[in-house]
Amino acid sequence: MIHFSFDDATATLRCAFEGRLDSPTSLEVAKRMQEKLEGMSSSSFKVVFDMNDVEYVASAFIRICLQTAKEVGTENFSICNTSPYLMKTFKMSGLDAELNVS
Amino acid sequence: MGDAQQIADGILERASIAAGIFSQLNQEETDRIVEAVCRAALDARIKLARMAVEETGIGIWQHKVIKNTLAAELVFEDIRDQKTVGVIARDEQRGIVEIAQPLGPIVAVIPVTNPTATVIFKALIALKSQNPIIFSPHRGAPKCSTEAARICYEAALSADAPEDCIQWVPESSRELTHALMSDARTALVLATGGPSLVKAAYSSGTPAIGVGSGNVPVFIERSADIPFAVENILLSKTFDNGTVCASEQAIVVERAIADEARSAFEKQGAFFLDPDAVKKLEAVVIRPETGLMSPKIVGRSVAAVAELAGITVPDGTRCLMAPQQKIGADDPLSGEILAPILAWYECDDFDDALKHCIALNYRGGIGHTASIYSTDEEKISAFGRLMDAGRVVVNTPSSQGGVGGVFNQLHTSLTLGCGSGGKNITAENITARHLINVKKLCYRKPNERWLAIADDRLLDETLSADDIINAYRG
Repeated sequence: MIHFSFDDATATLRCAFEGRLDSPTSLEVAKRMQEKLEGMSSSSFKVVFDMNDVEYVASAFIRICLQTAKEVGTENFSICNTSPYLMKTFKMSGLDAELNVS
Repeated sequence: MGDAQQIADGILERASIAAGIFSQLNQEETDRIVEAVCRAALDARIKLARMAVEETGIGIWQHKVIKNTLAAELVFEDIRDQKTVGVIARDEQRGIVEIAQPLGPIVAVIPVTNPTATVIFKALIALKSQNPIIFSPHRGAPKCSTEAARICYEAALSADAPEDCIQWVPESSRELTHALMSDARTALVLATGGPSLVKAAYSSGTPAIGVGSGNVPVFIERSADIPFAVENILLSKTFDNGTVCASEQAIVVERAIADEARSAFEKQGAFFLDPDAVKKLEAVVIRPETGLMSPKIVGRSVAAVAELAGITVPDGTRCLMAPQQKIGADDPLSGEILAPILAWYECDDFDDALKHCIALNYRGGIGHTASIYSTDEEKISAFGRLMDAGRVVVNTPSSQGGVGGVFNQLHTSLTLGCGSGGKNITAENITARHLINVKKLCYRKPNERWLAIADDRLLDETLSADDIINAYRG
């Protein structure tokens, strides 16, 4: 569902997701994200959501993206490795720029 | 930023996200959502009908049950097998593949006359086309419309629809509706209601399908089965106390059959008013300050309308018949009245009757609906050619006939397009396929005949039209 890794050199928390991030799964993701962010020792770091292995996202997952971007600052948040279909989802949502989706 | 704009921002932000999420679903997943909403609406048909009449005082709850059922089941049946997601058609010969693209968030304005059935209908066609929808109920019916929307939304969620695929405004206000309609994130306004509302929708700068008033002339031609015609007209005009915009407004008969038709109406419960009573009725049907229908008579019973006008009618009267001579703004009963009242015109002959129907059609009902009872194909055809109406119903009650799916094979719809005459982009019954952009994947299929004419030959001034035609057409 989610794998975390931290790159000290760039102070970046990479969150690699996989599978269907539907509403029930997103609830669990939200909980784990919150725990992870609270457990971070540094107050200044970047967060990257890696969507390479994601098939589907629900509204609840979009809210996690928005919430995380808010917490770390939109300039420190990005979403990468989206499939073209997922990119269109973010485009239609009007959030591709705000969430730095690529 | 005002409160209305802030509320609109929140709603449209959520709707835009729902649009994005929706785009990930396939046809089967989408259809499952639509079926769930249909079933929930059917289960809630009676509760919603009662709520609507209790809140608005308009119409008859038993008839609103029928409307809710029709808006759920007949609309579902009509759109069930339509392809609305991904590839929807493939023409190998022409090399064209059609692909559906949802429009995006739709703002749906709901009329007080159909406050729950219209919600059900619009929810179904919006979800079928993967568009999030935002309901803005009439200020006279916020509770029942919101409840209908809530029931549809919960059913949609239970079938894994995107969150916020159905929303509704927290309170009905002109400012909020305007903010929603004019926002760049709104893809379409689907407005059903009075002329000022429809005008506001078209003035918003957002693409709109706005459907407003009709003024349905009914021609009982001399070859018609008169008792049958009268039975159908009264069935239609008294349905929900005449609130359907496709309901009959004026009866036009040739003098040769006028007595027989009049007698048939009387026999079936209609009451012809004398000139004094007509004057009293005219005084209450229109609001003088706006020239529009008075809300006090819309969808009210015969007894309530008679009491308001101060006229006496026999117990059990089903419909008030108001004999008229003229058609125009100075003759209120020649226009649309959504109540159990029918104007009555006796004409010299067929041509005179047609002229009356044209005048009625152009008195506020252009593009909407017209009706004829006849067995004479030539006359039916002449009537059809002359009426400017998206629907010309034949030997059919026009309320149910215009809506479609009951007495004919029109697409079942509670939003009836009125074409350019009604300032609409279409004269069709609005359905799911009007809520998608159809993209064309165009494979290379060269027009060999066109390519047979070298471009530089066209630059030759001696080349005549015949030369080009002969070369092209062969």
